[in-house]
Amino acid sequence: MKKLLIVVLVLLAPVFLMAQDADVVYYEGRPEIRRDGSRGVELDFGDAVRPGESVVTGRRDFVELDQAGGNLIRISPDTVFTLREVERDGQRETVMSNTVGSVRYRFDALAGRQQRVASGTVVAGVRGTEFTVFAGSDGSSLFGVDTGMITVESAGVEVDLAAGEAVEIAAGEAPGDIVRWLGPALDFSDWEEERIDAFLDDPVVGLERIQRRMRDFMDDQDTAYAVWQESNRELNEIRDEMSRIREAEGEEAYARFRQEVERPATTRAVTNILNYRYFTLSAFSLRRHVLARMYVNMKAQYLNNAEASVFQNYLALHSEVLDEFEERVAPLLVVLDI
Amino acid sequence: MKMKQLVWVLTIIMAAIVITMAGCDMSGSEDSISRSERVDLFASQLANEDFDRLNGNVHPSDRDGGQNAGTVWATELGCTVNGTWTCVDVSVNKSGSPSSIVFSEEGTDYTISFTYRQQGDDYYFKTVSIGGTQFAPPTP
Repeated sequence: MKKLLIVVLVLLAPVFLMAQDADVVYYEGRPEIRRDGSRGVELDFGDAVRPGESVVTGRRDFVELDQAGGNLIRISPDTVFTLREVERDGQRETVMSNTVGSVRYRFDALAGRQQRVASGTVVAGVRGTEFTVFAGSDGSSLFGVDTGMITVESAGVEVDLAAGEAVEIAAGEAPGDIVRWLGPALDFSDWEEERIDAFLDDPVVGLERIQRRMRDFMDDQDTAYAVWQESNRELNEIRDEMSRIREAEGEEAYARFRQEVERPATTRAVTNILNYRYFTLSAFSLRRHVLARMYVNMKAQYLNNAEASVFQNYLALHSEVLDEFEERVAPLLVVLDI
Repeated sequence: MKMKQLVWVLTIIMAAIVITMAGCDMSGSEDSISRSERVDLFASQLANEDFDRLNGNVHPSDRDGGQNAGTVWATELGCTVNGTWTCVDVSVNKSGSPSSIVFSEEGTDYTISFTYRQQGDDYYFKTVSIGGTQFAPPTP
């Protein structure tokens, strides 16, 4: 069903956000960046994608962009992703659009902004944390929700999509029937074997790239974890104060303080836990579904040639990556993760 | 094979099938989890402060891995978190079961309500709301 929808859909789906550049934090293959209609040049880590610029991915390419404020944009193979700047209601906004292919968005839940998504004659309002937009050129769109919930409006009809659900919107039409969303989960289990084989063309270089990716997750995890610790410390102080208010000032003052101060602080702390967990679980998935499969393939490939220097170099680096994982990620995993 | 032997073989096979079938629960419900049992399990985990297992009660297709961490639930339910969590005075009232229960921590009540989704014979939570606001799976 999913494949059918992807094939059928042709769409132009701009996502309106506050004006911001997007930085390349990860890529695979040889994606290109096109500036002001010029010929494409290969992009690199750290490149900034600015309004007026496009990222073009080929069949084996993948790009991940990061925006200040915690927004992540993942550009799938065979996609054209463009940033443009428009004026809406007197304010300059950055428009993210994928004229073909698919893009997965993860917005920082803390930002709490209402996003606007448009496609040809279709205008939709979206609020959510993580969703994917499939796009083609006939103006129709498919919105699929990975986590959280999004609200999609079109032609005056609004539908709520929960995690695991998707809806198709034809140009100028109300949203269609809600269908089960079989889109990508927060994991690497759907990595194709040939993609791993491609890494193994030069296994040490391939593993170094995985290591960089893993370290990105770990660094983001550590940053988000520190943010949570701070919000948790604040929350604990607030709860101490709440207990004091209850004893000194009674139930009414306690209830008011709880509603106005403690609950918002709790929501912030919970959100910050989910933020660091996102990176922890991403690193875990990379280790489980990519590193492990690479290792098995390498062992099989060098079964009768275990002393080969390339294999020994690979093993040394593999061990280094695992050690770092055990030190930085494993302590934050819980029983249900495993 | 003679006719008499064939009859014996068929008889033995039939007997084996009957014995095997008799050992099966044809309703398939022996190990299933009803809505009440799901709430009982959730409530007992709460009462034991086993927060790290709570998210396992959410339907796999609705479950957000981020909420596997018990710290998420403990924080929301008023327990102090310092490395792990500390709940001072926990009690669980299941009088609203299976649609809701009340979790109390240090004199503060949290009404937890559920909607359900079925998988095979098992019921899981589709949503878990705390204090009227959906908590699992998380919303923006």
